[in-house]
Amino acid sequence: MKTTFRQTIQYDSELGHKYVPNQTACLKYGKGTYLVETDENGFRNTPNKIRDGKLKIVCIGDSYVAGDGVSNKYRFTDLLEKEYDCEVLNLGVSGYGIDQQLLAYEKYAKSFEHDLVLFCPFMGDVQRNLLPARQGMDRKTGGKMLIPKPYFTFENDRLTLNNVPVPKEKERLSKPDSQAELPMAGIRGKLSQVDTLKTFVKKYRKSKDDWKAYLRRAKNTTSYPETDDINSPAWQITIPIIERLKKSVEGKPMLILPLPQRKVIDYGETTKHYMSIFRKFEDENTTVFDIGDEFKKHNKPAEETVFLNICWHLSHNGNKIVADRIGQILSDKHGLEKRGAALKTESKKERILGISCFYHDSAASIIVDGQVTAAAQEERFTRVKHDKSFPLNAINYCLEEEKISIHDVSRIVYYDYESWTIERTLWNGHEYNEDPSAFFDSVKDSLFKKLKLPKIIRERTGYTGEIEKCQHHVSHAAGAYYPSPFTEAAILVIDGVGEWACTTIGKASGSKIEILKQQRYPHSLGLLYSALTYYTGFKVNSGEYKLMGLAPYGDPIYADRIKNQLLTIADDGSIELDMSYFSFQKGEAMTNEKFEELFEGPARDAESQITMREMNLAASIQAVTEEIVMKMANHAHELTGCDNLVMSGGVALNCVSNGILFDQTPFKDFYFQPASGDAGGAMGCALMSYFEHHPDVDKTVAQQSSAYLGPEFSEHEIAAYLDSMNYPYQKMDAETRGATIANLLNENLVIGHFDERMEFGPRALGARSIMGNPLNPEMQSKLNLKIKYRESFRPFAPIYLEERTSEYFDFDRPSPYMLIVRQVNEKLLHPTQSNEGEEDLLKIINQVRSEIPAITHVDNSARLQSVNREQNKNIHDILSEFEKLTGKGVLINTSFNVRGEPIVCTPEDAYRCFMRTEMDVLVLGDYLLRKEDQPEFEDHDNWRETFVLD
Amino acid sequence: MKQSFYIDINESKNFTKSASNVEVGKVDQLVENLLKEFDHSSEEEKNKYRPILKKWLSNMDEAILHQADEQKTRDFIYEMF
Repeated sequence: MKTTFRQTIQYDSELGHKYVPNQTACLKYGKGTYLVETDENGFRNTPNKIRDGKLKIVCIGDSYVAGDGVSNKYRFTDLLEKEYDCEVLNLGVSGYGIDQQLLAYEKYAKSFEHDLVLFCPFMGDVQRNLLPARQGMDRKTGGKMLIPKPYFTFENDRLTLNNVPVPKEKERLSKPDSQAELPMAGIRGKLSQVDTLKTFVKKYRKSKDDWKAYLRRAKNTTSYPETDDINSPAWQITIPIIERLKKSVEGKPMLILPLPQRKVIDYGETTKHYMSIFRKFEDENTTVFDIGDEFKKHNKPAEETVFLNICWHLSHNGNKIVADRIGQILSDKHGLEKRGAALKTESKKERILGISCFYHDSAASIIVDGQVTAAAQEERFTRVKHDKSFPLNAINYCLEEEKISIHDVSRIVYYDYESWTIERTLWNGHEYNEDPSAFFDSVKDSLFKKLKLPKIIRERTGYTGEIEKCQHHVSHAAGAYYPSPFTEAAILVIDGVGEWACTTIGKASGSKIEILKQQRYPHSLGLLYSALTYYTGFKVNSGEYKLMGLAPYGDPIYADRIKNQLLTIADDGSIELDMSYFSFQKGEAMTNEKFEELFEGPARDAESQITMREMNLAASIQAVTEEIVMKMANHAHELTGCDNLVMSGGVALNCVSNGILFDQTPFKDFYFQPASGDAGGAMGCALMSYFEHHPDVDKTVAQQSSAYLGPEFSEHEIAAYLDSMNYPYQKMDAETRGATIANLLNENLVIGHFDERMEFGPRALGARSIMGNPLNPEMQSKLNLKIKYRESFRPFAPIYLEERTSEYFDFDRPSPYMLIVRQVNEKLLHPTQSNEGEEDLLKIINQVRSEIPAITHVDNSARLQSVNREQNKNIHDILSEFEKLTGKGVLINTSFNVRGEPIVCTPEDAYRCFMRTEMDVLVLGDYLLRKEDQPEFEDHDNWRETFVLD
Repeated sequence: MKQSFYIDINESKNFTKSASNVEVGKVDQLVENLLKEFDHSSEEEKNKYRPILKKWLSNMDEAILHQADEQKTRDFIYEMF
């Protein structure tokens, strides 16, 4: 499992590797995470931190100095800055030998005028100086490989640098290389030792001392016995490297503080052997100190008193011990003073983390002083569509967006009263099942996870603070209302079921939400729609939007049968299902034999041909849904008298019925939460908690200006990926970016567009989109069959200049979230032939219906996404340039993925999707990649098996 | 036809609450805490549910809460490029 979805280390031609510059990344570690922040040169220095110390220090080292396992602020360099009147430039990088530490110092320390050098080599670094390559993990495959590095040789009293520029080519390893790999814990560590023995016999069978060294390694006391032997090849090259470092510091005082390996301390071994070698470098400017005894004093084996348990780097406490020791030395020798006043820190903000999981579409969101600053769905990181697992990746993303650790979170809220869900399940078992215990047994594992969510939160994140829970439908209601532009609104939540609720009508005013009425399980419009989704051969909880897309091809000939047999509809939109037609309440399939008899046949097999029957069923359930939603909305208006309606829940993603609300209800304005499904609950529950704790805060602080709440990848990160992988690209000029892309679209090329922050919610709104020319009549089937590899009937949505809305469509207001279906303006329509009796979908689709044929659905409708310059400048530029070329400021916008795949999140995901399909061009920020320039793509997965149709 | 299938709620109380009630280790206490939160059940129904809950929570293995292989750490092998 990756520690982060970001690439944190990049190729460097002089140093071999270093961190990706200007990055914030939250890395997983054991029961928690730590935050890595880097500066413009690719070192772990927190950008924009207040540096006002008197004594200027440069610190060099490897991961112990860089601070693997702890956030920047908990490392000894930062703790030293906090306590003492000094400033520290940290040039430590994970995996560096002393050779690379010297080179980093020579290249990067000059720009920071400093008084003193702190050289803190890890004892194992001595060995690394022999190596022309280090072992690392290939992010793409998870396999091991050798990463070339610079290295020195020493001959005839001369130190010669080799391997620069460092080769980019990496050698893949079929098994670990013990000489290039550091030791590992557990079984892998033991295996490594076996390998070490073989290597040792082969390479070093010279003397009794060598065998002694091996025995010490095997005895588990140290992995680096050579560090104690001044005659070892490792020290023979290290000595001249340190001598050169002493010259490079140009007479400045240097403090050498070697850091021991955990095993040495745990086993009570002495550090005196290698310390005696380091002490040979002492002179009037260079002082050497041992920290071994200090560590031994505090260390408790197996506890994280000094070292972290898993990776053995220094814990926060271990870092503190080092900081105290260095502070004491510098006070004694260089007059370093303690700070009179503490460094200025940011004022305390209230940060609430919202979580939804264990249903479908797990997600996390963070609210800072009432404002949603980040939100993401777990599926984007795990690449598992509709992933319902604990959203650790999404949580970590939220933390990194805020540049905080989990301990800085004020409160965690999840969006479910699990006790009510358990209660409803028990009731369901007794009401509909002959053996209630057996029914309960069938769901006991998933219910147990829901019940133990607080425990899971604490175990997987290390969080120790307050945890709250919020009702499922209230979370949806809050997620719809607070981000809306309204200060008073009626609320309508419709989904499958949340605890007991299937439909909720409420009213909001100011920061207060009131729940007025509810439709309770099992009488659910969402479950009825899902039953038809299942029956027509699509996946429940994911294929509903396909059924909606299929509806315009059919006639609603079954609508009366649905209304007369399956349910009763009251005038206020409430419903009662006839449960004799369904089997979801028995924990079986959605529908039963009686249902099949009613519709004269079994459910369609998922991959079988879609016939007129499925089209008519789709049209019928869509018509019934629209009738019910209109009645519900009208009733909500009667109850509340509000001018505005906000909607959420899975049924609010039915953009066809959303579009009709504008014509068939008295509401003047609407807001549909772009993440209306369960993912959006993560945002809603946190907002609800915030406003319940702060009822006097103006609700407009929570107003959501866009759905771009996900991760962004900087120019540095994209370049780091492309350069590290050697993929050819062209850097576009920001000024002409829009025109360059518009020209390619006008040439009918299909472009994958990856830019700025990822969307939160199921729709791609330009940040992770595939775009094409909508004026080309063949573009719809080309995109479906050659890019998306999905059913040919699926329509594509337009993305267009907001200012052109009424020219292109029968609509007069913005639609930024692609949640409203309206008709294409009749002035743009072409006369078409009747499709009556035609079952060949391709023939129906390929008819030219309008001047923008590829986004005009068979019923002349389109799913609208308008864009203005404030929401997305880059997309607006492309549309404006396309309009100059073609007269139309509109493009096809479809999600950047193949069928069944979660929308791409990272540059790596985007490149993979680009190469797997017949897409012509990939745009990653300002970088443009053409398919014909790319090297042959080695695909490690069979994606058609990985991503099945939903 | 029945006028309405909705249930009147008319609530504007706090909809969020502490999860501490379910953060209880002892099964008996946890069962009682859960039953206390069963707002849609009669006492008679709660009495029916109590043994089912007790049996369920006594027999569950907490191992299912831990994700397999989730915390595989860096083991000194750096995710490079």
